[in-house]
Amino acid sequence: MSKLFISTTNCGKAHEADIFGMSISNPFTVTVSGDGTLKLWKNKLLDGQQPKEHVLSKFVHKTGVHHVDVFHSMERGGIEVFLVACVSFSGQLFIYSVDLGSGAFQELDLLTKSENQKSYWCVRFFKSDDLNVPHKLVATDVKGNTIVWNLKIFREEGEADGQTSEEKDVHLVLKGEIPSPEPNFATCVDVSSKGLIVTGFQDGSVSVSQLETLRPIYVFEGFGIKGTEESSNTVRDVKFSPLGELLAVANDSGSYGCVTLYETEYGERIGNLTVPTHSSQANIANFTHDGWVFGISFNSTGEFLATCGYDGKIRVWDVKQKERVSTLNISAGDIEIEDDIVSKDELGDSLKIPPVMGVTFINKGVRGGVGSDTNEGLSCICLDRSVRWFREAGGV
Amino acid sequence: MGIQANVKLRESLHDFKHGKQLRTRRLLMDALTPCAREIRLTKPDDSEQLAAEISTLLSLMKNAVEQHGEPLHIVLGLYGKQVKQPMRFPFYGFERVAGVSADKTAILISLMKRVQRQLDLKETCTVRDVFYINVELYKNQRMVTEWLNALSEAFELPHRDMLRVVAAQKGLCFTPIDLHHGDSMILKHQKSLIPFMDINTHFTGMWSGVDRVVVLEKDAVFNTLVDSLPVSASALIVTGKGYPDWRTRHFLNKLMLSCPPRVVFEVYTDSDPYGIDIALKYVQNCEKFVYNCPKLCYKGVLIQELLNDRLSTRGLQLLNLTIRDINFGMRLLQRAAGLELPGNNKRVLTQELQRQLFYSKKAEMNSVSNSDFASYFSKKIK
Repeated sequence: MSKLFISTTNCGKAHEADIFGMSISNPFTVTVSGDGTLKLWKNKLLDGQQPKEHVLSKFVHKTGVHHVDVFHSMERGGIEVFLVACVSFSGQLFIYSVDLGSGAFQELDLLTKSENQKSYWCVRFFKSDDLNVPHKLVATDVKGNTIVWNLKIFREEGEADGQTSEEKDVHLVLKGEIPSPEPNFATCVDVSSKGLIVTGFQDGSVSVSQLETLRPIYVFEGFGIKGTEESSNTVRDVKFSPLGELLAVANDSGSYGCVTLYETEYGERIGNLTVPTHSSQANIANFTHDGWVFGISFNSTGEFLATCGYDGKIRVWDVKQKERVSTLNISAGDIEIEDDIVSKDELGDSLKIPPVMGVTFINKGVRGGVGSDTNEGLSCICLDRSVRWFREAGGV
Repeated sequence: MGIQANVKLRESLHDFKHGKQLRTRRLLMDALTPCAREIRLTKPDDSEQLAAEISTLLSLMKNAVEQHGEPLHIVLGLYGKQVKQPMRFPFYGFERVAGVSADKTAILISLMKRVQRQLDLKETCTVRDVFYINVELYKNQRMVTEWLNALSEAFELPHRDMLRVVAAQKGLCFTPIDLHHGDSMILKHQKSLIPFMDINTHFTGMWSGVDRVVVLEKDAVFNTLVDSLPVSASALIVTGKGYPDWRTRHFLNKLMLSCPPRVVFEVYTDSDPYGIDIALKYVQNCEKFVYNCPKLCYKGVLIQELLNDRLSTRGLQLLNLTIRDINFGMRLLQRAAGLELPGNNKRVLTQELQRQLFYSKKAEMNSVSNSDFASYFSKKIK
């Protein structure tokens, strides 16, 4: 069975430089870029409204920003919390609180002095649905350590009775660190609802640990085809399925990109997502994209996985069948506003088929417009400095 | 003997003990402190007179020690702008020997003598030549360089090479036209070392035969391009062999000032953070203007060119950035973000560095276009 996605909105020249990271929340699609800014694109647009007219922008750091994640939660007493965490190329971790009414950014200084001296790379929030389990903030550093904080929303009164007041006071309590056995660049991280934490490394290994004890339980190594290209298998993204049963790992295999699925109970490899490489049926090699896979995203039910890559394609996979159900070919020319098309960069390099740097599923009812309440959608960022939004066709 | 009798001898410690009475310790110390000769190395009135200045200084020192028996107190630079700690030679004083040791003074004086000789003969020699004359004294070449720099700073010379002791040439160039400078020239169609230049050097030649000046990080690639006739026919090719020495940067600065404005300047380096740093070293470094070449544009090799190009280079391996590379890249990016760079350079260098870090990959410039840099280059300049 195939799925069809149609473009709803897109925005060229969304940033001044390459867009490296994205995250989606109910009110905003959030992007960060090499130009050093963080942008919050309003999701609920009326017909005819342009994304560029409804964007909150915040300059973060002059070296550029590459990873971002959003925390949006309705806490006790109807207190709404909207946090954005992002990491700059200088290795600093920035956390902002955004007032959804006024759109004002407030930079929060939540890290201690020694924590601020680390060189961070990837950052992820984990929203806990259990009142007794605190929310988490997880970050990796360049040396390969994974640092975990409890994210507390309310001021804590006495320690003895564990009573918390109703006063909002966002703060972090360091939970611990999962050290890397040897220095190894930690490229990506994710947290599952089942209490696991996964870190992907540059050398191709993936380590899964328990969130509660921070103890490693599995290490997966050696993906992709071995041979001349085996030395290049950098892990670029890791994601748990919404229920935490599955783990998807995107890694390089030479100049190709692979996505491998594992089940999390026993750490068994389930299989790869592959496209036929030699004829419509024959697979010689197990590749997901003809280029590195930069981003993967499960939909809300965990039935489908979207992958994107350097080949300028987004693919949607049926997770159970491990079959491809849709391919979106991105082209620089399909930006609606002609002036915003970037088909060449400053050095004259063609961006006609721009590499896709990130993809995420959009839940039903997040975006505005026709059909968005009944259908899921996709959003992606591309190297032609664009952000694009799609929705599944049909059912309108 | 009779003559000696007329000489008035200075009082010794013995005299003070037994004859003259000095009431305080302070007075005793003053009486025992020899009268030192302060020799100060400062900017000569006329930098052409450097040789005369140095010879005056040397004879002053000689006279002080030989004729007057006075210790030297050598100071480099003006008040408030002292280049090095003052030196006392021979050492005197009541505290334990501290400060600059005597062999430093020996190095300085020996270098001054050498420089004086070079200036008199109007000859140029290299730091290495000087070093090998007295290895025991200098210990290492860096010491020679350090004290030459100190001399140059004390005399406030616009260029250290005016001392006529210069660093050994590292850079290479290849020119499609004969380049004249002063009495000598760089011959066309052959690889030459970067020539010695002084502040007045100006290159002349048939500039119509040069379209571009190409700077390369590696000499292997330099050789490839030189051997590729279509490229080398109209390009002046320069390499600094990795991190460039001052002379290569100076040479580019001279070329920039000598050649007509239509000539384009391009730099190609490895696709890693060090390559970016090397490009930056050519374009802008914090030193004097004579070592900068702001006209130079960073052109590659870009990491995405290597990626996009992979059909023609099957099996091309991009290497992982090491943690050291990543840390270096992050720091460099911070530094670059604070710089004011001419033209598109800042944007391009920053973007390239960000991509290298984000992809966490690097590659050598030799591997582009199926290890054929010449064809990559021809495509690029089309």
